[in-house]
Amino acid sequence: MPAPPPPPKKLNPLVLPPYTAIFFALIALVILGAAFASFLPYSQIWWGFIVLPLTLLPLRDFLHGPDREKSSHRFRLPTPSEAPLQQVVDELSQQAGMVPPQVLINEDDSSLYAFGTFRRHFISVGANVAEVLVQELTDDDAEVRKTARAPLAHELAHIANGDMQRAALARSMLKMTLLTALVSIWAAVGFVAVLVQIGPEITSPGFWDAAAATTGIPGLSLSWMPDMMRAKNPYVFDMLADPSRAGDFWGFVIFYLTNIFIPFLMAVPILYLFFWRKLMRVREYYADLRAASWLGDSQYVIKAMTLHRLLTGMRPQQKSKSPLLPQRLFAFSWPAFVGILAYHPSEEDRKKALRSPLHLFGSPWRLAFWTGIAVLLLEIILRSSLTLIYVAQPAPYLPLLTATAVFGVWLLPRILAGASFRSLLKTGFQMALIFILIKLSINFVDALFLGFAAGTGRLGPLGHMVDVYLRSMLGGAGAESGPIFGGEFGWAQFIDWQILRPIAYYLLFGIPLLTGVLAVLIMLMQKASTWYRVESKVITVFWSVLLVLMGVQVLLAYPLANLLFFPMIYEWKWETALGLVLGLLLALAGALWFRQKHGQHAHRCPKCGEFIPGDFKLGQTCPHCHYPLHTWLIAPYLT
Amino acid sequence: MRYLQSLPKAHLALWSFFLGGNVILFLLRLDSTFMVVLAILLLLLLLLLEAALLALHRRFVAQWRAILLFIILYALARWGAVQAHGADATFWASLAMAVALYAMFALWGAILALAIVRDVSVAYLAIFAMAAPILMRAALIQSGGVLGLLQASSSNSTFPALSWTEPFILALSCFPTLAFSTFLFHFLRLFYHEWQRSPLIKESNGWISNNGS
Repeated sequence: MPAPPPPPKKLNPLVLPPYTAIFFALIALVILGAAFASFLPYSQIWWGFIVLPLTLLPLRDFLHGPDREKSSHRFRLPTPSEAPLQQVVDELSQQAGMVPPQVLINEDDSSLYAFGTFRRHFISVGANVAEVLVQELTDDDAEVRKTARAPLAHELAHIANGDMQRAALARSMLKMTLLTALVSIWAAVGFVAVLVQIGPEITSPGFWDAAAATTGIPGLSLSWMPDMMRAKNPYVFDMLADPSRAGDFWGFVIFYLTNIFIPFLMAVPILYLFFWRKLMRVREYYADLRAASWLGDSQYVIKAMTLHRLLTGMRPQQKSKSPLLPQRLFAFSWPAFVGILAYHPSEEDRKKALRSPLHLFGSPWRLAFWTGIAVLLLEIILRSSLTLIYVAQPAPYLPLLTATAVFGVWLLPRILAGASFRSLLKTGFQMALIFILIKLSINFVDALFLGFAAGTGRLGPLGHMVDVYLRSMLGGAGAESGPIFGGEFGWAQFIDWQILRPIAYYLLFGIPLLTGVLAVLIMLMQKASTWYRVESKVITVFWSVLLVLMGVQVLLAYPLANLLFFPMIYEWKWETALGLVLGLLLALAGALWFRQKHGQHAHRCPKCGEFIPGDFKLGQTCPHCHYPLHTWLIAPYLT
Repeated sequence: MRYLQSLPKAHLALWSFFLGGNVILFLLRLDSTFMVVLAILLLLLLLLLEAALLALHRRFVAQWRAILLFIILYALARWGAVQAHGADATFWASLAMAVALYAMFALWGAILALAIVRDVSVAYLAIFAMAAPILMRAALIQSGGVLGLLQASSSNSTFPALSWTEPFILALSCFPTLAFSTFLFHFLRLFYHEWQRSPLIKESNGWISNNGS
């Protein structure tokens, strides 16, 4: 009887750029993009107020993580009878070539989880869980022992994959952004109340000399202060000086603060509920794959899912440590979130991802949707008082570059798994279309809003709102009389700049460019996948190709399109010409380099050096010497 | 007696010197410049002794509840001093004022100790940012404006009227300075632990259980 055919080879996502990194990068893009935009010209906020809190505080919070965990749980070291837990973790760590984390017994709950920072790693094992795991780890049956290793391997894999660190850092980023925004709003409103209280007094003539007299310093005169304050911002000065205009001042300030903080307060929950939780779900797939790779068979990981469910469902031996007051206040019994809000994927999905690892990358339209949302959130934040330049300019660089990088990373596993160019191109086009439509939704909303106002005869009040908005953006400087909106800048410019041209720009230029860039990337990477001699350095080739394509877009494509679509903002300068020349040279150099490497490595067997015809297929062997090709791409476990 | 015997000798000595010094301070007759200078020098010595006592009891002092306790103590002592002064009870007014002075010193000591022992720099900044405008506005309303506040702060009254904002302004005044000065220290400490891969629980002697007690 002939032997059954071997199962088809599976792709190993662990050797490819991690999918969790995409979601981490999108969260970081929105938060840090907003922070670093304060460096741009015309920003209404001093960078120190936003860059420092949104970089240092999340890092501090993240590094504090283990100590915070310790303060909210009763941890202890394993007793001698629980020593096998640390021994297994040490063995697995040695196998993975990593520093073993410290195993801690958690007296408070029946969970099993990894936590830590970049270099401090810990695995918390609930006391009940430890008892059962030790029994199983010391069982006579080798199968039972191996299954009991799987939950520990899974937790260790979170650390080895770097997902635990990414998830914790992203959470710290979101947490500190929210807290910074809330404290800033509170403080700003409070200080404005003080300003309203003292405004008439400090703007009155004679106040500053009387104040100087209280210091007792002879000859001190502060009579120049009111003139200096007036010159700084006459609009605000006049409002402060007149107590009857306190309401106007409050309106002005509330508009200004709303512009700054509301987008942050809106973005953080979206990022936390959807992006961060997606990251949390995806990391589970990766941990399963890594654990299966270490144990050599996915069956142990699948069995361990049941074991893990049983273990973590047990009641803790002792009553939990009394948490701190804020923890008690927020200790709601949250419902178990499902679907896109869940922290963990279903067991069925995890098994499916073990059988077919491409499953973990999800559908292309979802990724395109979420990338569009991330870019949109950043744009809404940047439309605010942070920087005016993004209101005036289409700013295509960041959205299109983000989409190129994210979609490129997403397509890579499929390219290497041997999908056809046609199907990949179709997917790339769909992703570009969805992304651009989401990106443009803000312009569509503007158009709808304007259409509604025009239809109901409310263009006047809407124009006044835009005027207040512009005034709060400009800080009122030099705008004592006459509205800003309605003069040189009116509805015609608004429709042209804010609605028609951006829509035309992204539909007529953005979609074809993005699809074209992805097509070139797919084509080149399909060719590079036949460079069998370079083995895993194909990934380096991918990054190089991606970077060159992004560079060419920045230097060549965007400036040309900007000149074409926005001649009133962009004009021909010698820097533009230099950029175009550099872009052309980069494209040429990249093409020549790729051609030379392709001639050198393509279709050659690493062992016998013979020609291997056709495209690369996962699990393929050399037709001459049967040497397996690109074995590094194959998942090293049985199903 | 047994309790006193159980205390370390350093505690007893410091507390005895501190209390004895205060008795001497109150017995001094301030009828000449020399005596006033002597009283001031003694007071400085007593404040140093208080600093030593605070350092000795640092475990208790470096806590949020200690800060709150000293704020309450200061407020009560200042209120008592104003009341006693109003009733012409000079001795009690002076005594209450001395307690207020020590409470203020202890309050600042507690704020400093907490900032050193625990990484509360961000909490200090957040509390300052949130409470300062409220306190500032209340103080401005009470004193009738900026000028009134400036004049009140430059007056030479020995027993100025107590406002509810005073103890909090006293506490908040050092929050930003301490927050900025200790932030980097704690940040570097975190990096040190990170670099050292510091364990959460140290293994003192092989597999020794630490049951979290």
